[in-house]
Amino acid sequence: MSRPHDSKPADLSLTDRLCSEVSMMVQRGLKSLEYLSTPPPPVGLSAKTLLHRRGTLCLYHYHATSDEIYRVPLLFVMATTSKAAIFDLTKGQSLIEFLLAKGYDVYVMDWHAPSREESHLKLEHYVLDFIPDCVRRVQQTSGVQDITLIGYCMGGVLATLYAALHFDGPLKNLVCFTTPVDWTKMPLAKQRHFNAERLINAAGLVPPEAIIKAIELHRPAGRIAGQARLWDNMWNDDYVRGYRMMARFNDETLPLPGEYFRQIHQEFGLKNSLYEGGLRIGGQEVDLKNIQASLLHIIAQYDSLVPPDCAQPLVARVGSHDKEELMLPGGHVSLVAGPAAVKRMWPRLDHWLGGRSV
Amino acid sequence: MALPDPFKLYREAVTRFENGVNAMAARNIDSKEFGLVIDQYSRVALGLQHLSQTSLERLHKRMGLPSRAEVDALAASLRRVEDKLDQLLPVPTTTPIAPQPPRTRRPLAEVSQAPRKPGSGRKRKAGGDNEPAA
Repeated sequence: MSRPHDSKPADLSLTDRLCSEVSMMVQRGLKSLEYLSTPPPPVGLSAKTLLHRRGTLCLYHYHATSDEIYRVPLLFVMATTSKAAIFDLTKGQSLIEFLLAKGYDVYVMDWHAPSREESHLKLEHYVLDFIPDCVRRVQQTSGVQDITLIGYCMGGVLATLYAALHFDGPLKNLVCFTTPVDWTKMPLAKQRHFNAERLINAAGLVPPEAIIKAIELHRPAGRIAGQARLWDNMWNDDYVRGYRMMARFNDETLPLPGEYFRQIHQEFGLKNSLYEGGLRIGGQEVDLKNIQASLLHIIAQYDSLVPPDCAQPLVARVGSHDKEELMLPGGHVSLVAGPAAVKRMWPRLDHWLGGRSV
Repeated sequence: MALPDPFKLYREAVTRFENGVNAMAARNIDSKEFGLVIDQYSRVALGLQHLSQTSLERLHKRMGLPSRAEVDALAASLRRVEDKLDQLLPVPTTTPIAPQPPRTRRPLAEVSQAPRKPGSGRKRKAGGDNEPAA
């Protein structure tokens, strides 16, 4: 739908301009009532089977939609603060639907909100237990030993740590989306004056409100500007649907186990040990040079949460011979989801994965 | 003379405001003041959370309803039972849950450049390395 006032003002008479402005205002009013009275559009609707669930961890297998699939299955590791529905927004805007149509066998590690019983979880549980457990289950279900891990943001960090500590394991390919490595270049991690302990509540968890607020504080005008743009585009159903799906993704932010958060803050935020060295997980030293799997790191050029110079050292530091860094226009979320991702990132990901999934 | 487009002006103003405020925040994000703001916020948020929790607990008690902590404990027990059930149930290795197509897909470019000959290259049996054919 095109908007009347997108035409050059000089092309329209004063009467036409007034008519179009009044028409837009009426539409905004009606659509805003609809906005307030309807629930956000459902997300994560691609057909899937729950393979395994253990506390905060869920492993899903998405149903194939093509007659022939690639040999090597893909296992997504979602960021621990978010639901994996960002990969499966809606028809035509679902990365998972796209990959299934291209012939990939797709598995996803998704997260539930951790309970207070799980406040003790640490990086060790994610890297040495959850991921290896899911890898084994994917191997059993698919009957294939090789595997491709795809991690987004903190999920990329977990997948990278797994790859570094299981270098003789089944990992064939590692794909990271906007994964932080040099945490001194990460705006939120630069902040050393706040008391991280205070964010951990009585249940031993970091509440989602605190995570949302911390992310918002590094771009404080983002929410207000987003709402102003929403009002401007309220007449546009596609824009409103996209906005609501992204808002839902933001609202569904998950709490974090306190120990896990404490470890991330100390090891990555304060010591920068993934970049500087000296990080130990379960008593084993993490050395990125141990990673030998083929690596693709996709970075968002305008990512304010994980800026390019924070993510770029990954490709330089791993021991893989087959490695590639791809910088694409976009932000932290628009890199993986939304209309720009459909056109930019998804085809490049398919192109890279195809030849390495046989 | 062309009339100014108020919506264009509005959109430009929103973008200028967003860029200006965000740039200012980016410059000051590692400052002590910024840390104090986060600290202040977390202190207030946690205080309010504590207040609402204790008020709700009192209300639940008076109404004879279980408290949040009791429901959490019950949920955790149920989850433990479900996890145990998951561990006890056999993993379906012989019959895949969803029908699995053959794992013979090749990249489109590769197929168009070099048509695969029967029995050549890395052709794999249907269903993968050690999977029964679907």
